[in-house]
Amino acid sequence: MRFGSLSKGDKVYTVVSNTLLFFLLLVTLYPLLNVLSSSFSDPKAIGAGRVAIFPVDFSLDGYRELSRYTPIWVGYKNSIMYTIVGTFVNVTLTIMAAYPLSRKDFRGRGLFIVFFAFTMYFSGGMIPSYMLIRNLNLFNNFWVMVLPGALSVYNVIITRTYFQSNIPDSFLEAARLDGCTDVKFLTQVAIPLSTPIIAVNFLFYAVGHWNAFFDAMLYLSDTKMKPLQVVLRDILIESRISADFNFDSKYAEAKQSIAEILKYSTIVASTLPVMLMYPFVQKYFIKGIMLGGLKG
Amino acid sequence: MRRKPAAVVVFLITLSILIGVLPTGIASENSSILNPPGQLPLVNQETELTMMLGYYPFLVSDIDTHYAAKEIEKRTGIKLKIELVDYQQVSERVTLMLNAGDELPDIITAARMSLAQINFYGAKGVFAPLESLIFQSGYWIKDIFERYPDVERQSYAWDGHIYVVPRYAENAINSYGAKLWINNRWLSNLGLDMPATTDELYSVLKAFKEQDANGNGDPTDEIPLTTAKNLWYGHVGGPLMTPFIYDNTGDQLIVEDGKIVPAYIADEWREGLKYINNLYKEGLLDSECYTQDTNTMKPLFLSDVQTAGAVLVGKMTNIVPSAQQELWQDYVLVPPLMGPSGEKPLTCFVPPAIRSDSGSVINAKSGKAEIAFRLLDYFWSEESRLITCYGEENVDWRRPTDPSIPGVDGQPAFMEILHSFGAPELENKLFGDNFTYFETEKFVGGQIAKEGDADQFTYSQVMEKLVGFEPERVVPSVLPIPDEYVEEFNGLSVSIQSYVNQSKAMFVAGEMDISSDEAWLAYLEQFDNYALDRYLEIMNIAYGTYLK
Amino acid sequence: MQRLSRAFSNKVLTKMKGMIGVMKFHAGPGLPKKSKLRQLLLDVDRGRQLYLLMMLPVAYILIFKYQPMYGALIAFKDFDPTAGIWGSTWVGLKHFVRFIEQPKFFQMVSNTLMLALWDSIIGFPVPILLALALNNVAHKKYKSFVQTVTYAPHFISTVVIVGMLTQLLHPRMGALNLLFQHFGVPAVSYLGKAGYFRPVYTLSGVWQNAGWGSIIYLAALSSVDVELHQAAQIDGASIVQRTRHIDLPAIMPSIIILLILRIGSLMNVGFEKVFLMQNQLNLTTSEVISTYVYKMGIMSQFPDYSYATAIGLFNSVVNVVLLVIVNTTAKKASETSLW
Repeated sequence: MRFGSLSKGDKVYTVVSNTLLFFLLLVTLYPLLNVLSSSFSDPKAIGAGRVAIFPVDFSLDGYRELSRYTPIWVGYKNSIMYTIVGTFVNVTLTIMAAYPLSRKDFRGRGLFIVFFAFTMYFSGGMIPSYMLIRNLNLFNNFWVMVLPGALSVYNVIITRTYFQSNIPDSFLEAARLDGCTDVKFLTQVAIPLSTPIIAVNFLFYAVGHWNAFFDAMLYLSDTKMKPLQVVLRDILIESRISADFNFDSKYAEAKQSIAEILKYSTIVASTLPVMLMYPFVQKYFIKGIMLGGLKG
Repeated sequence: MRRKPAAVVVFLITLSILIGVLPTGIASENSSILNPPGQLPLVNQETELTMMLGYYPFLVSDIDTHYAAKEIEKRTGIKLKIELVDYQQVSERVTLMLNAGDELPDIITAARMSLAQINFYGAKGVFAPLESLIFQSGYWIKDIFERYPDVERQSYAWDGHIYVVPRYAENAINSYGAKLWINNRWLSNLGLDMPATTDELYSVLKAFKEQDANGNGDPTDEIPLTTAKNLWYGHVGGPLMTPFIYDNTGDQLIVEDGKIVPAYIADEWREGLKYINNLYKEGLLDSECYTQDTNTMKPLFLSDVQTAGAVLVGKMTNIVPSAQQELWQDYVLVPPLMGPSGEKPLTCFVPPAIRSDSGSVINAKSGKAEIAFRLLDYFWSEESRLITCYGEENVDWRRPTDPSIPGVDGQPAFMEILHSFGAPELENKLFGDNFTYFETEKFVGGQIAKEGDADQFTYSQVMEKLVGFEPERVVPSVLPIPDEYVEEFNGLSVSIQSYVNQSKAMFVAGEMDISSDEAWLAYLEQFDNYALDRYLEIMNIAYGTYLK
Repeated sequence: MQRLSRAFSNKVLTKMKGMIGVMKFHAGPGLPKKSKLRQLLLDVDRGRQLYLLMMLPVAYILIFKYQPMYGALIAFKDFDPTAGIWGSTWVGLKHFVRFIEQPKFFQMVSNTLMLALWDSIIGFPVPILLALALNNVAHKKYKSFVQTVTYAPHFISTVVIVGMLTQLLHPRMGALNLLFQHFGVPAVSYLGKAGYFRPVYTLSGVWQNAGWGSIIYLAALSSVDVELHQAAQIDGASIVQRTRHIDLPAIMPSIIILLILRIGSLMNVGFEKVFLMQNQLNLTTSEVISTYVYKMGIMSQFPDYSYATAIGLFNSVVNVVLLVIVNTTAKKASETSLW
């Protein structure tokens, strides 16, 4: 629809809406540009507060220092592996839990939901989790980055909501008449119709894996298995909220200056891959293929 | 017939020897492979120890080829099986392992495990008591204990044992922690003398504000006095409060007549707050001193024209990079100010003490306790410190080639650094500060005086202006709180200190009116809610024990 | 002996199969007494594939979530790692009482709740509005660009965001105050006044999370039938009307569920951002439960797991109460609810 052919009310709406969106865009673009530019600026200029939106005293020091630190590349590799495998496990389990819960004729549905939701509020904490991991022999094991977080109840709930709202009962009835089993319906009808929510699940879980560090810090002592976030935290002392800097000698200061140089380049290095994930995922936000024969 | 009694005697003697030896069987087995204390290598046979090492991840990239680790093994003759754990995670890891019933390694070292935690576990039999080992088998530690009785005294747990091999550092820059720096060039630009009293400081700051102190033609861009909320010793108070009543910038307690009392309920405290509030009101103290973080404050110092006249900070290089000498060289220390009472000025001083947040321990169940102890003993030696914190001799540092060159402290220099920390040549060589067991002045003061070294500059400033102004008695930083009160004490500490600091800020910023008697009384009354009396009671019990 | 029992069990099994067969045959409306049980078994049998699907997720939850739950007992004990969880002394509600008797207890709890409420009231609608607005943007590339940019701040670490915020809000040097002064508004120290803490926290939260939060709604909106919009357009409906009557109902289930979940986690105000934004002057509104727990940990230098767990349990209980209230309301007021 061309702008000129819109009604007056619509024109007003479009102008106002686009203006507000533009404003939001500017406001959120600022921190991004600031970080990006700082990563390409001389730390002295950053300290003097001269970097706003564009790099000042262009410098590749940040990236040079970063690439010099070899564990980063190992971290990247590990994170990619954890993310791919982990997300695949996540999405599969989530669908397996969400679909039955979305069916009104699923006996015991209410109980199951409570069973799942209860775990969002009550947990045992770190100590028994440690015991569990230990008893399962998952220390320094690849799967410790996948299994403990294999299912997020929050994701199950939003997926269930989507199934409930978007898979009409009529489809199911029609499929039943054709002798379709539940599993077949799930894989051949429900999933293709739900590409948006599956895409969202992929995104949420993938980001979760990419940003994960806590379990790794606790359970992975082998430096060759560390994910990216842990490696970055290792370099950046500032990212730790601790007042323990005040060692008496050059160490504190040297550490700080290294941290200064690396601060922004590490953020870009860790955030860029994730940021690029979204446009990719967004392609799936189209309604699934309508299986023509089942319509109506 | 005569042989029988002889046989009996021999038998009895053998028996008594065996009995004498049996209980210490393991120890003697250890002893047999140990060389006399102080001798290197420590053992005369190959032996291995397991060790959990709290490390700085960016210093150690591969423990198998790590320089310091290899060097220690070589010199002590002990093979080390090291498990690396992030130094901040060790405390958690130990707790989890204990709970799971896992076996701990022989030694746990270089970690953030507080004295409180160490003594707690020690009393439960997890860590070995070390006092007998120290006095019978120690060498370097024993020497330090003899020369520094305070270190020994502070190492004892409440139950009378020593479970920790402590960390101790003597460093003037840290001990005289809270400092006030002033821009010397501004003083000379305006023809002012270094202020010696609180009134003089006021006048100087006022001049900074009203006149063009930094010489750029603009009399309005100067910020007379500033600090930031997360800055090291960026505490609003300290040198500003001490002229009225001593402020240790921590829990703000003082010693009076042999007892610990709070400074923050005294009238002098109120006077001090009035003074600081006055500075704040007149725009002489940066209104953002409580809200800005270091990064936000930095532009005042890092711009081409500096706009900060004075600053409360432990070291200028916490704000400005040491490499840029022109940015820190104008700032000099203000000697302790005299207050309106005319009493001798005092400087904020924290006597060197063992660190309460870290230390090393030996597993009580280890069969090699004595060997493990000797290794920890070795870490107290100067040699070990040099290897683990500075690197390889004649590669990363060296003894001065010319014995007549003075160090920063004026004495003959002790060492010269060739590769400073952070240099790529030092990769995978050091364990870093966390591995320090014992550091004396010598390491900083004994470095060759170099032009343009910020640490040395700070050190000489401290020596020149602050030493000699310490208060007679200060509250010790390590107090043995009895076990049964610890939980209660911590709870009280948190709420009281939070209240004191919050009220202080409110008074200074004018949110609460310091000149109003009502407001002051209301402030004092609140302390009943926080059980201040009980808090002090517990502290004084601990203090009493400490003094004995 | 074995042969006998095998014969016996075979008999029982055959009988049961027969019974089920009979029940299957008799399935249908209008059956007396046994219909409930019969219906139950029928449903279970009919849904057996669904139960099979559930098995793996349920197994995961049991192993990784329910089994470790005994750790919550630490809250009722004086946890001593050397004795383990089971060996530590039972102290009942001691830690809860200790927490409640804190002088600042009410202030902490109210700060936590108020902060969360502010965050919800302002922060919850924005992603929805953003999603609805973006959905109507005609130009695809612009839409995609805005989406990618607005969702990015979510990934910048809190430390950096608060650092930027502090610089932005500085009365003398910060861009915001400089801008306001241009329009005659005097400079304010936003971080130095307790009254501004909640708005600043909330608005910066919107800045950081609006884009990310809108993703789920955008996904829901993408399932709206284009034909509906086209039909409405032919009927002369304006964009606003179409949004209100087609788009909004389509995402209403998501909105309600997410709102329920949001209210059910009100007590979980995160620690990092609040701690970084705190300072001595705004503690009256900025001291929340999580920062208190952190300070206790620092002060004692020896983590008190029991106390921290007790406080966490306290939070959870409050959350669950809120959850039940909201869910019941949602059930009555709409078709969507959590259970």
